[in-house]
Amino acid sequence: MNHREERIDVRGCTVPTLIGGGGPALVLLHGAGGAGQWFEFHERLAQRFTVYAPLHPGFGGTPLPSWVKEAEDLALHYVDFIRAIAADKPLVIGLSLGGWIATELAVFRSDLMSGLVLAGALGVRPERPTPDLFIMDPMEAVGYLFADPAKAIALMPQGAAVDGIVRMWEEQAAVARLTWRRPYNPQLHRRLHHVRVPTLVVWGGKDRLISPEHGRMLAREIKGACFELIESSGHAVAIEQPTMLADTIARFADGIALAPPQPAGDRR
Amino acid sequence: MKLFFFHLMPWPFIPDDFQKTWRSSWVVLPNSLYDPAIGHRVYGEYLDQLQFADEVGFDAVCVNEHHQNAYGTMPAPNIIAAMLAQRTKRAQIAILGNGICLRENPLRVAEEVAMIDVISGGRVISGFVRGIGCEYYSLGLDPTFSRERFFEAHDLIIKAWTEPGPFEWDGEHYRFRYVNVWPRPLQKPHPPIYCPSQGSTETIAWAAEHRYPYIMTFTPLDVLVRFYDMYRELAARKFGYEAGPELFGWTSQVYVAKDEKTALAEARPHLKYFAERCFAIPPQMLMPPGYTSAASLRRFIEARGTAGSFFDVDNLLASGETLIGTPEQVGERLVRNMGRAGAGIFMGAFQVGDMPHDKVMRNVELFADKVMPYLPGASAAPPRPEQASTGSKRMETSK
Repeated sequence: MNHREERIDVRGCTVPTLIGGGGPALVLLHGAGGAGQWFEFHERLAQRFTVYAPLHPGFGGTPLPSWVKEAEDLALHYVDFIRAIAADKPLVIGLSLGGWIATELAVFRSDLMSGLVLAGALGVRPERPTPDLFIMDPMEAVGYLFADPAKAIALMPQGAAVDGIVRMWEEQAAVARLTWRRPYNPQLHRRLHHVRVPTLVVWGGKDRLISPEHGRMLAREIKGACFELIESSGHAVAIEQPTMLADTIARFADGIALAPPQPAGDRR
Repeated sequence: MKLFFFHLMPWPFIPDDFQKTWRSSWVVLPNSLYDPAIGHRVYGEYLDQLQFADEVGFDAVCVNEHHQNAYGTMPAPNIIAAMLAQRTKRAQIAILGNGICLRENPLRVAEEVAMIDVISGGRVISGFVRGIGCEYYSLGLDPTFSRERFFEAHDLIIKAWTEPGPFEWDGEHYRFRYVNVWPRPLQKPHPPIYCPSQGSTETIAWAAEHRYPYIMTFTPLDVLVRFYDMYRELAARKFGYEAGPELFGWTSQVYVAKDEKTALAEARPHLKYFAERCFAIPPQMLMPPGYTSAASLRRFIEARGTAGSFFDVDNLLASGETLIGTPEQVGERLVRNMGRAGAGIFMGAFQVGDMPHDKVMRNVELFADKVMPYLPGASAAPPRPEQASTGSKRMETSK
């Protein structure tokens, strides 16, 4: 599948976006690592969907503006993004940190999406504190993100050594802006009932950053949500098990397409 | 040349198996290793050393702020500065510096520094720092807003010191309906502001714009000169003035003995303690993401080869450039290195690592006796505020 990069203007913010594939629109909100690269995961999804993979502000050399203070600021930025790409009710997928943004987006604007997929999503306060990846040396951090550390090669910086270090560090600054003081939104758990869209929660069985139990809890708390475990994968499911994850998402999307239409209005 | 007596107040009992067991003496070194009974004695000795420095004629005694670590046990520098206001008579009290953006309310710094300035008779040098990267872990603060908060905190403190209160401050990071700091500092317009720094480009530009004396600690001379030249170049090109030596400081450990071999042998174990157990900070802790700009990080790595902090004792001692030797060697190298740096403020660390009290006192005494009298007299430092002139006190021999 060919893919291309477009620089989409979102209210004055330039959003480099990888676009590829064909079919119903899908917006993929990336996590802390691997932003701006077209992986096997994207490729697999592109066989079934038109994939839009934007970069969060601060990634890929873009500036990190002062107005980005909380994940919900990015959620509202993505409301504008969805409007800018003129996507009609895309399927929204959030990976890890992207899952936090996607959850906030669904809390406020479920009406904008056809479905929600949360893979290893941050955002709701976990039972046990997540380990501090910022203080770790990279080899230790990799162990929390991957069941198979060799798969982490995909995330290693390309090109000249100092350039790579500086670029990764810049992207980590965008992650730090949202997660340093508190790697979750204390308000989000009680807001989950606002998510009114078919939801799939997927988790790596070997996720050492946030346990699969957290994922199961999210699926219980979001009305009508289902949960799937990808046993062999660590936290970075899209990189470790791209085919399994993409296929799980495709099955989920098929299920939504076949489901009877939901009546309008409040169902509680 | 101004002589400042630098001090870190390190914890001198980090265990011998430190390098095998812990990653750093910052942030994560367990505080169970701190013995308060020993600490009582050690703080007392450090204070005695600082007091002695005043008695033998140092121009300033220095404190600094570091949290949750064994490198320097002054999380509250103003507490020590306040003690020094009582224990010293003539030296300036250089707080290098308060982490003005590390607290919820920077006006607490304005208040405390004003108190010390008034009580000391106008002897405070008020250094402002952002706090090194480690502090952002220890204090749970977002490193990505560090610079913004620092600049706003500085502006707020200066306004609080110079404009009549109460006034309102509605800033991006700080909001106070009533800013009305009592007491007001004694010095006019306010205590001199110094800028200790690790070399971020934005800080250099800011310091040059404000003409704040700029100090890098424990940085190799050839690296330091590059950053100071940046300041000088900006001062000339952008701000229209010539930045003289009174605006730059150079820091070094100092150890004098009657012959070089003795000096090296006696100082070495304490330098090694300092380098290996105190100063070593991994890159992730020293430079958390967003702490500085990408451009500054790049310059930092290119200048030093790493984003961490490390100190190579063997190379340093082999270079023949250290201030560790006979009084003649130390005096000569000191003057030469200050010339190379273009610096007029010398900050000497006479207590290093686990150096015990009696050794420190002999070191300072010998320096005061045999080196001080032969150093150049008062340089073109910022004029001291109205108080009794201290004259050429360094020509008096120590007791």
